[in-house]
Amino acid sequence: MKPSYRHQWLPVVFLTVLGSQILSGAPAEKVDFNRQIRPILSDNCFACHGLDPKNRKAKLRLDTPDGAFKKNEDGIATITPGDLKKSEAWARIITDDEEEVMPTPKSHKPPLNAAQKALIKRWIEEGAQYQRHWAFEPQVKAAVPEVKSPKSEIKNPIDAFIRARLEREGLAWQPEADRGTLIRRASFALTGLPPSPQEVAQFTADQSADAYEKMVDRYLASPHFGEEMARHWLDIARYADTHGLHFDNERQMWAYRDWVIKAFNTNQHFDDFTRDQLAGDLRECPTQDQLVATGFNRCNVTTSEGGSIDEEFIFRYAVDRTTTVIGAWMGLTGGCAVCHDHKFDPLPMKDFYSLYSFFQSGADPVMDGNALLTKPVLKITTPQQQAKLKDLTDKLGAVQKEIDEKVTALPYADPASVQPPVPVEEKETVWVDDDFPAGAKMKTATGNLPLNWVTAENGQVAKGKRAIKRSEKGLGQDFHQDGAAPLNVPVDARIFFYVYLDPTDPPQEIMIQFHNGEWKHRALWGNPDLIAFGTPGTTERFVAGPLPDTSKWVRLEVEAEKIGLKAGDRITGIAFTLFGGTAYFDQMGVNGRSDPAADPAQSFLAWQKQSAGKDTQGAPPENNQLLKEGPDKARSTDQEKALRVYYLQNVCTHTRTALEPLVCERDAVKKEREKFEASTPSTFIWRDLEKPRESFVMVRGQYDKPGDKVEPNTPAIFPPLKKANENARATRLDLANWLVSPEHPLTARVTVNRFWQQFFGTGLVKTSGDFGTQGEIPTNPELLDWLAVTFRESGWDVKALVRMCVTSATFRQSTQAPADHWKCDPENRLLGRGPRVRLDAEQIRDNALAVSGLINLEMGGKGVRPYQPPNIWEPVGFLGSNTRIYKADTGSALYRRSIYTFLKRSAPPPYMANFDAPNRENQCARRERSNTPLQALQLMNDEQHIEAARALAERMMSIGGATPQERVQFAFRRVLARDANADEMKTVLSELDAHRALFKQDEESAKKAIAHGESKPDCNLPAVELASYTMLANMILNLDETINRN
Amino acid sequence: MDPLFTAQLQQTRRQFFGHTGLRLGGIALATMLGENMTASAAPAASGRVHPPLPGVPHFPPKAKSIIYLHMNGGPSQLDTWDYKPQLQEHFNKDLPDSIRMGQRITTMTSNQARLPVAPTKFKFEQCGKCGTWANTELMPFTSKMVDDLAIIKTVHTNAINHDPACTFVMTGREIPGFASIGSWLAYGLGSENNDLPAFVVLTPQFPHNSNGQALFSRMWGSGFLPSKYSGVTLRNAGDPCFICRIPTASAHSSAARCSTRSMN
Repeated sequence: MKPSYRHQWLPVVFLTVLGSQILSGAPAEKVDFNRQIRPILSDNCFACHGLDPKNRKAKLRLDTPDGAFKKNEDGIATITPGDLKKSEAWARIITDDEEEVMPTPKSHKPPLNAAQKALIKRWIEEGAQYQRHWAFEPQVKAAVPEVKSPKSEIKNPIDAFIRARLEREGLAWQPEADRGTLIRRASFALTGLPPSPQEVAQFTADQSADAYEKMVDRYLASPHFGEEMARHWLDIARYADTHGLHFDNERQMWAYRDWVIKAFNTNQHFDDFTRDQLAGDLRECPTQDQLVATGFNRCNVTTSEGGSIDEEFIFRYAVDRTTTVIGAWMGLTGGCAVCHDHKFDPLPMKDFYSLYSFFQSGADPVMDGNALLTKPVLKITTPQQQAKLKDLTDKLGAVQKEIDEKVTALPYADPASVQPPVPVEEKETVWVDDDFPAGAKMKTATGNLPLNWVTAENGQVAKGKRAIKRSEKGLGQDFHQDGAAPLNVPVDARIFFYVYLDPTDPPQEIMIQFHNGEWKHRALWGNPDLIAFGTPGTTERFVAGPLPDTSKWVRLEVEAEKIGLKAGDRITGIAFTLFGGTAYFDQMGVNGRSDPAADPAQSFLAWQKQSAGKDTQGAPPENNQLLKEGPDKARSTDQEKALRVYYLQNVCTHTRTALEPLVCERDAVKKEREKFEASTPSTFIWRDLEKPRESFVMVRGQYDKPGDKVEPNTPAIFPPLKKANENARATRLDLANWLVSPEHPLTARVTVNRFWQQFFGTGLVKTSGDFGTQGEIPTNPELLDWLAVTFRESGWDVKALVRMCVTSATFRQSTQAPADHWKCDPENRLLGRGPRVRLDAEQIRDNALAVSGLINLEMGGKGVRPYQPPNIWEPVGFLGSNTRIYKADTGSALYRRSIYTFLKRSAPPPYMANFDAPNRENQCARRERSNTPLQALQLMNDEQHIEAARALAERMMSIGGATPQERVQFAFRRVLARDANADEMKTVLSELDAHRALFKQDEESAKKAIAHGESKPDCNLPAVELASYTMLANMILNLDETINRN
Repeated sequence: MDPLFTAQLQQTRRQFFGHTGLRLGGIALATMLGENMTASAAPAASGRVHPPLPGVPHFPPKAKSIIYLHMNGGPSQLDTWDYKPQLQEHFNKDLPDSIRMGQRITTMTSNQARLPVAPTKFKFEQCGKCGTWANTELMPFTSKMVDDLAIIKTVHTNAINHDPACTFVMTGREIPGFASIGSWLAYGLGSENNDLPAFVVLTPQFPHNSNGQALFSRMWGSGFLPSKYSGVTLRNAGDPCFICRIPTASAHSSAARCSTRSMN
């Protein structure tokens, strides 16, 4: 900041900053720039006269005093402090001239209203004092205010700040709520579950002065605390169980979700919580947990849609990750600065792309491959699993060592270097004649008939004694895949076989197939579209020609190379296949040159020549690299030796035989280890590319228009980044440390505000995702800063902060208040009454499951699939997608907590979406709370809710007591943590009678009412009674009081 | 916004049920949303269940509703309404640079050795009084109605793939997270219909083996707008509105479930 600005900027002092238009300040008070003027300028002027130089009109900026007070060529200033007549802006605001008036009609903004004009007028007259935006100023821990209220009503400093404000506004404050309401409020706030009857009894019976605090501590220690806290963070992290775009296939990263739960349960402090998620991989010797935490920035949506352009998606992913980090920690709308300098906040494109540079070099591929696990991933193992894995790895090492030793001892001379050279001979080898290779386990697939060898007496034979006859309406084949010794493919191989097509019933297509680890080598004759194996146009489905003539034996040939077989390959299976008709197959074999010096299966050198310039499947990376570079490139003795050892072990036919038993043993152990590894889950983690990508400001946010180059750095408006290594490129760990440094004006404010929103319904800054100039200013800035600084000074202790919030008298107030209180503060922004909020989607379902006793409180693991109506996934499902068909789980998995529900982004669970849960495509800092007919319908008719009602009804009848009164009281206590009053009892009982009367006349209906859901109704309870209580329970679960935290 | 008005918009379920009188079975969404409710919550909004934003629309509208058919994977515009006779002359010739002008193409076609021009194979004729060119071979009936249709041929997207292109068409952005066109209409214009939600969506049911192209619930989602502006899906399998069916048999009168009202 230039020194000349100083006299013009006022330090931000919040005196009577009103968060909304609830109350008007005393008229004598000076106009407050941040509260009263900035919103007007920001909404109406800054888009053209603000930070963004590209869109700035008339070279005028109104967001700085310098810009506003500058005189133009005619010596006229836009604003002259204290002098309306010399303020062009004022003239332009009040003029009637359409060409002149501001905001110009071209901006589609309505003219300023009278109140706004009056404020601007006063502000200019009073000296047009600017203030910097409050959120970018350092946090100031104000002294806890003195208040008039008795000390006993002030539980902690939160109350002093809240009460001071209320006193100033002359607003009342409510007494503590009753115990039932309190424990239900605390239980939902801290665990997302209703209190159990035992918990209620314990709390209500506790007469000690700190009964409430002890109750809170019990919930803070509950494992369900982490689940509730994590739920909110997962909205920030945009966690879900599918990739999100196009196929929207499943992805496995629930370990990240479980890590978040664990982090809150173990009270990981927020600074480390930050570091682990942004840079866990850069910590010293990162733990498994720290690596799992880096999944935070792998939660973004990804694609694998064919045709996608790499550069575009690298760009898009990095933009998503950057805006998410900016939103999560700094509460700013970073997305605005992708295409142009932020119009309202001091975040120029250059600063955005400097942050983007931290996240642009992720090692994940552009295309997620529609795979469950898109690299980089981490295997999640327990200590026992790690021990078993080590055991298997050791075993593998031991066998390998034995093999290595044996290899070195084996005599081998490369035929390519033997003198005199080994002679070359043309040779024909028969593979199949009168029988498949010795030991082959014969199989017949698809066709109905078994393998049928015929002789000259009962069929056609070309060579030897017998041939295969197959006759099918559709697809039929005879093949072997194991049992026989592998067959070698010679140099320049041509595979041949004999076939005879029946003239009366010729097949439409014939095919031969070869197995070499996989069935990927096929040649066909005739119509290529009938046998649907392999990819057309590749060696997996080579069209060798038309069908041969019928009624005679024909020798068909195909070059091995055409079907992807090369010299040295080992064939482990052969298939004769046909489609629709009758044919005979006889003698199959191969023609080729026996030239040991040129045969990769015999000559080390020939093998290397063959492998040059391409990838060798199965070879370890370093050997693959050497092979790719070719035999002419210089290599070290060790490299040469490693390659030779690999060749002798895995490729060379002579030496391989000698090693066969050991190799078999090794492969078995290897297989076991692979199987074991496959059974342990993995999760997406973050890793950088070895060489970071260069980052540029992307012109107009276009992925293919790089502009100025940028380095990883933090926005200039904030205190500078401190790097651990001054000379190196800034790292994500530097960034994380910077975010949680005491100088950072935003992180602590944004974080405490989000927790506040969680417990009090609305943040102190209502726009919890926007702390910029377009966001709302805090209702109680002193409190926000006091909390932020206290939180930071506590070492970012989350549980301590949460405890302070929920043990405050503010939180414990009754929600009942006189009508005029509601009128003065309809949104309860000043908290002169207790916070009452509609439960979130997950809490509503969990509540029904919990009070009915259906709930399964098992924690963690793969996402589960509760009831969902048919055809939610299907309309958005691709044929190839593995999340196309929704199949609900069965058994106890149906009753898991909602945080474990499988979340498909392109079709989120309706029970969540109906109650305002986000679809996790983007970050969501604040859920809306809407009220729609679908919500009422869901609660009344949804299978899960009706089943829960029945289960609750069963409990009312079995353990609730003998009389209807007792049973109703049981349900009220369980659901609402209170007794029903006389009026309610009367209504409910008459309701029961009404249901009973109806169900008596219509027992079918009763049976239907209790048959919902997978769990079975108790057959000892009469259907009519149970159905009547079910309807009653359904009503109680539907009460306003039930689905609110009161 | 007037805070009192805001508060009324955020009315509680208590008020909601209190005013509307909850009827099941033959329940009509209109009653659920209730004229009573709007009358009390927003007296200025002319008794409409789905009022428009104040001052919107700014001209007298002719249309009462909008039906939008998203024919995903349908025939190309070149084979339907966008008559391009000159393409015939360019048949099998390479796409000229003067037309392509460096536009990007998907990686699926960018590996092709050449990019030949492929005109329509179908017969086009001028139809109706307006003389609009249409494919009369594939659309013998629709082409007769051209005088009653408004055909817009000027829209395009920069997206080259289904997912981003559909997301763009429906939300104005290629990137998920924005409100769909139906949500905006429900938000801005509301609906004159008091018996149905302002925005309904009929979702498809694909034949078992067909590969339907990219649909996503974000195409009728409300993005950053409140979720009450999301499209209400009427499905093509099971019950159209999946939570409207009462859990008992029909004889069990919905009147018996009224008491939620008196309890709230």
